[in-house]
Amino acid sequence: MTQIAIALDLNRCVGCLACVVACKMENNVQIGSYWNKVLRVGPNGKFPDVEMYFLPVLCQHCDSPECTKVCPTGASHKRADGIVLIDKDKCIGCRYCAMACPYGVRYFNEEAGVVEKCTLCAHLVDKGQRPTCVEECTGNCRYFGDLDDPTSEISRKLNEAGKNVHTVADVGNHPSVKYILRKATWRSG
Amino acid sequence: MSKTLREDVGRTFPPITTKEGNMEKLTITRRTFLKAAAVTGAAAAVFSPAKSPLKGLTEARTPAVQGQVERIRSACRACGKTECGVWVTVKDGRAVKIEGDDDCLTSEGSICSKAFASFQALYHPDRLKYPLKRTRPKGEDPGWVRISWDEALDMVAKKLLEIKEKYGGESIFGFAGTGRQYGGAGRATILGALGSPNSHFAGQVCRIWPRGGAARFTNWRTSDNIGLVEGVKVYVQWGSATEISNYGEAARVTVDRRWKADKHIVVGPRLQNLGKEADIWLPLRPGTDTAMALAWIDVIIKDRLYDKDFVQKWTNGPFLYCREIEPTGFTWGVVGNYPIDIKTRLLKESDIIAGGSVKKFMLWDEITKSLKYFDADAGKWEVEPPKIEPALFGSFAVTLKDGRKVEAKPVFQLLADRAAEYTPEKAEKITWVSADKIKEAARVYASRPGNGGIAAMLGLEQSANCTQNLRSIYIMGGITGNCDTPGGFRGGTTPSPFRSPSASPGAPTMPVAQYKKTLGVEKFPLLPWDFGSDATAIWDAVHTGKPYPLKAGFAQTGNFMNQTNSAYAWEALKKLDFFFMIDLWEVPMAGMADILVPCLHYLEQKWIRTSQGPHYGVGIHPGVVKPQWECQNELVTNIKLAEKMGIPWGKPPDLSVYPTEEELLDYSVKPMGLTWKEAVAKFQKDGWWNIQYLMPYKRYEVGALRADKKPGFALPTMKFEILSTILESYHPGHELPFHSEPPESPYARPDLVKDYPLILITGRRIPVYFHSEHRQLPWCRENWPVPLLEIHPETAAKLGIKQGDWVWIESPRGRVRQQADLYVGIDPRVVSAEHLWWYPECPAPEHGVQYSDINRIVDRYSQDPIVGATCMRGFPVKVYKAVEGAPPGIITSADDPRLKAWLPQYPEGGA
Amino acid sequence: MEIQWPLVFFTLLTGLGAGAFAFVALTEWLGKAERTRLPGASTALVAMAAGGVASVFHLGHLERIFNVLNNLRSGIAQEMILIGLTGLAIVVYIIVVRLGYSAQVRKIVALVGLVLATLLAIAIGKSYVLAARPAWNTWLLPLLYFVSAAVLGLFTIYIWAALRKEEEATVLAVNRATLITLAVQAVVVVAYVVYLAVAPFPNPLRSASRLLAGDLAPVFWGGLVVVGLLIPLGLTAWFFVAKKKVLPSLVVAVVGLVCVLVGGGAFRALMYILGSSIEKFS
Repeated sequence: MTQIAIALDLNRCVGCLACVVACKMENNVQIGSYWNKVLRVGPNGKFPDVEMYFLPVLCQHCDSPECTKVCPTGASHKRADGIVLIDKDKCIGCRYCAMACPYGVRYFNEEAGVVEKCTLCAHLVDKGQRPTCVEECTGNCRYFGDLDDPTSEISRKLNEAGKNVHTVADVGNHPSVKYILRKATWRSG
Repeated sequence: MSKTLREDVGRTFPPITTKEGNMEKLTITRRTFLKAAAVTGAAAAVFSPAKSPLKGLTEARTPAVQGQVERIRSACRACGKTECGVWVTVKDGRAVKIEGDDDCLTSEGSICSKAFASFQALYHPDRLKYPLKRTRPKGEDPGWVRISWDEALDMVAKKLLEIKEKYGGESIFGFAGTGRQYGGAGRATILGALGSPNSHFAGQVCRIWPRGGAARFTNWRTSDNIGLVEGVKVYVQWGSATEISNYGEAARVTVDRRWKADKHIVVGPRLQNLGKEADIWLPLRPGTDTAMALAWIDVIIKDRLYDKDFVQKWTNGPFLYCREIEPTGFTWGVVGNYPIDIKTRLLKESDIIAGGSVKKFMLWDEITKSLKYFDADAGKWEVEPPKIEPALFGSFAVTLKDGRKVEAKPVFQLLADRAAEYTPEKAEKITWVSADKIKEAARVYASRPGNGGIAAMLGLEQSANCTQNLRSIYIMGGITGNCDTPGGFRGGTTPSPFRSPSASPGAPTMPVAQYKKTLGVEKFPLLPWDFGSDATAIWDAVHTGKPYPLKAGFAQTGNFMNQTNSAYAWEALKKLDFFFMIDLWEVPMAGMADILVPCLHYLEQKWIRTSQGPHYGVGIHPGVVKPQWECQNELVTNIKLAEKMGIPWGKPPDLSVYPTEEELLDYSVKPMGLTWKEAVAKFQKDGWWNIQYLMPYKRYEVGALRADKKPGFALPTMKFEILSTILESYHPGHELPFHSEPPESPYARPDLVKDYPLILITGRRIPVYFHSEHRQLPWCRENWPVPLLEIHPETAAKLGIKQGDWVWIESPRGRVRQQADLYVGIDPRVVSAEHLWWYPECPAPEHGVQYSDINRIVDRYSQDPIVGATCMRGFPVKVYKAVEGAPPGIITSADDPRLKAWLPQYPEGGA
Repeated sequence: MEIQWPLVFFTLLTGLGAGAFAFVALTEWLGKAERTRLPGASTALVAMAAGGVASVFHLGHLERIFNVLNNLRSGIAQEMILIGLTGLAIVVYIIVVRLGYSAQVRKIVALVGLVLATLLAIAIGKSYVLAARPAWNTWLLPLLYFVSAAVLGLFTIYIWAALRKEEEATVLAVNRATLITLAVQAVVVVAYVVYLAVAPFPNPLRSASRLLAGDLAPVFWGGLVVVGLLIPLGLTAWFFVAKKKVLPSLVVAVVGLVCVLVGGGAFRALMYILGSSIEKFS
């Protein structure tokens, strides 16, 4: 089994938004659509004992995606390596997948009439490179590789992080993106 | 029940008003649908073709490009800082991709959101393309008409010479900022040749004068940046956040070295982006940095955590100071525009022996229990430590040459006495931070010598006490053994192995007599010596004609919003007889120009770049793409203007009198044994030059800090001056740091507290913007559409303010609007506003600068007494809900269609 | 999420069509309201066609519509198939009636259509049942759509019964059926509000209190409760009690249909607004 995925170390993420705009540049994403967006969670607490983290949100490339279940044309599909993609030649732009997604990471491109989302930079991955957001993260907070390969960088980092690994809410779709967060309270799902 | 992302804890960052992305992109708008509903089943004729659901696939957004693909190495300039290394992919002459250069020793592959939006600036439809002349009065839309370059520069030359003739060169002032550093020197050459000592300079409130000044008085001018790249044991961010600002330090290096450090301390009023991970956070009251630093010094001295060796051998800590003598001294001309007179109460041989040297400073030797001296002329000790043990504490009886018996104390004792006025317990009352935390932080920082320098930046600089703020930091860093050590205070990368392309060896320099005319010299006597003119005094001169009238301006980078009171400045701009500006955009200030000409974007510019921080890197702007329209290298503009004014530039045979760009570039790299083309090719192949060999550690030991190559510092005592003899001479009482209340603080002006109960700080860094830049770039603006005021939820609740409400921020000077962001990471008594906001989408000439520009409400006379920096952080305001809502006509969300109008417009022919 | 108006009209019109034909089929089996059947079936067909056209405005690429059969697990594929088959059944029924086929044939076609229409009325609601959106993730939702289709269909039949001057007993029967179905609808609405209050992943944006007392309250109480339920309930109840002595049946039927259309639209709009995903990353 293969599941290519990204893991993020949120203690290293400083909310610089480089990944947001890097993704836009790499994929020529429309204004107002975010294949990768960054939220500020918090700060919470009572001043000055407060905590905060930034949460980059992208397609979670779920193990059992809600979107592929509902896509009538099969345009939304999961590759053998685990990346969930949209075949833009099949998509009819019904946006059912966007409704089915628990995380709001799919965007309708009005000009092209199709739905778009993070592709894990499959066009780069297929050439042996890493996704742009991983490459260009200023905090070096993103790890990339095959979750099912214990020797991969991502697996090693997640192992080191132990119980500090989290995911966003899981409704049976099993998001593949993992978040490492130490000390601060995880507030999603 | 599992925890969910509740509405109050998780929100878009920033809290922009777009709705969920997935279902907001309707094929047609509601309005057009209702038309359709009335004709259900009819053809799509009522709808615009672009939105018809029956249309097939639209054209690809990226034009089909094939053929020539190059990957070009360059320095980045999306902000004005660091010099990060980047790779730019160019397809058929069009820049299409940018990536970090992992091989760049300066930035280690770091690249920020602004860099990724570079192409949106490079190809922006609103970039200035041609020289322009105004046709309507100032204060209205300028009514630009296009003119030729010759016409433009002929007019500028004529007007400037006329004004110089009539009013003197000093009546013309310049504007200098950051960002495009190719724009600084050329303008300065022309102004110097005209005889003007006056420029409105961003450096008055950022690095050059506050930090640079404090450093000039203490150790050496550019010692501010710390050697983070080689790692620190304790990382202290004090009024700085380079994870976002990239100031002298790339974000990637910042984050990486923080995690490699043993401890992370943050001193600053708000919870910061990397500060959220701090081991110790001291959220001090704005403007109390000196009190905090002196409290640390108190702990350091009492716990004996200072580096005794360094203090004894290299600072003026052992020098004896006597209150009972008259200050005497000598003329000192080692640095600066002209010699200055040093008059000090440091005990000198001339005080105790008739005919004794005025440059031999006395100290007390504990071994022989006698006075010894250090010769600050020869740079030699009478007897060198460790053969003597210079006393750092105590009080010693001395007999003066006139027979009087007086008491003299080592400077270090004075420092200890001063610091003892700010024990942690006393500092707690001033800074609002607990004494225990202060002690903990000081002990962690100074646990051993050489834990690292302190990254202290604009939080301390934009204060009416900035010189003391920074001096106390440098003193603390110095006495704890972090002066020019690995990870310590190292300054910028220097010296350069190349010459500046804007070198003008043939241009006449300003006559020294003109320095006397520097605006602000009465209030700030040191300004002309090593700084420049006071921005507040400039606008006063324009408005009042005193001490003499200012008639013309020449802006090449810089803007009027960055300091002093910008509303007052805006009105002044209307009064100038002539204003010439070189820029990329029609920014608000450009709307006040008579002649406005375009310059190059960094991707078009050719230049050579040095790391601003101590990273030892030299890189190149190779000119990744060809210049567009009639945009021109602004240095070329400067030289052409100089030619029209009869000001020679170069000096043959090394450089023609009016050199071409190519000649200048060759001239700049000649010392490296290369032509420009060779340098570009070498850079492309081998990457950044590493000039670490030019920057040893502890340069004071090897004479690398003085022009005469003697060991020591370029200061009157040749020592790291804990007691500043320069300040003692020109600002008596300021020679040692002391806390001074911000002019309108709740303790200095309790009468203001009732009406203005909150303390305002401004200017924290926004990831997608560089000061006033990038408001018109879609990928930047959609992520941060409006300025935010961070306000504690309790304070907001009392004022009836909810998340996202527009609020007025009002001071005794007036009010502006920003959008409220509820933030528990700030003291309920403090609020944090953004700076330098204007709205490109609003009409000329103001472009909305009147709505949110926070500097409209600062007090222009709240200034540091030494360098005149405006206090823009730590003055009182009141905040209340703006029932009017957002300013009219501004873009407030990523859904605004005007953002799409700003998407790139590529030059024809693909290049 | 923002209200998807094309889909609102799609489910309203398709619901009306399916409901109307279902009741036409029932009249066939009950042997009543003969004059209502053909116009009722035609109306159903037109409504379904209109609903189909409305849905097309939600698409980016209509020309690829037949790709929809690639994933039959998808609610959209199932809807498309059911719309096609139901539409076909209605057409066949109309043909069978106009060509004067025997009652037996008519009944079989009608039965097939009834089953299909029922499935369709459920399917258009079931498509919204998604784990991602707690406010939708309940079988109460397709039930609501189903009952909505029923009242829309009933009032449509009611109008034709009045226009074609069916005998009083028939009209009264239609009125009674409508009254009962409206009452059932009211109960299901209450059940749904209770569900909102206890749904997993609670969030103020999709809470019962937002619906009952927050910014959505005017649309809920005004559009859904008063206009969509109380007025038609009142009218049909009054007619039930007072027969046609006070109110003409046509008035009850027309006003009733308008009300349940408005109420149905209000419900669907509210459904979208309450339909935030479990992680509202926006």
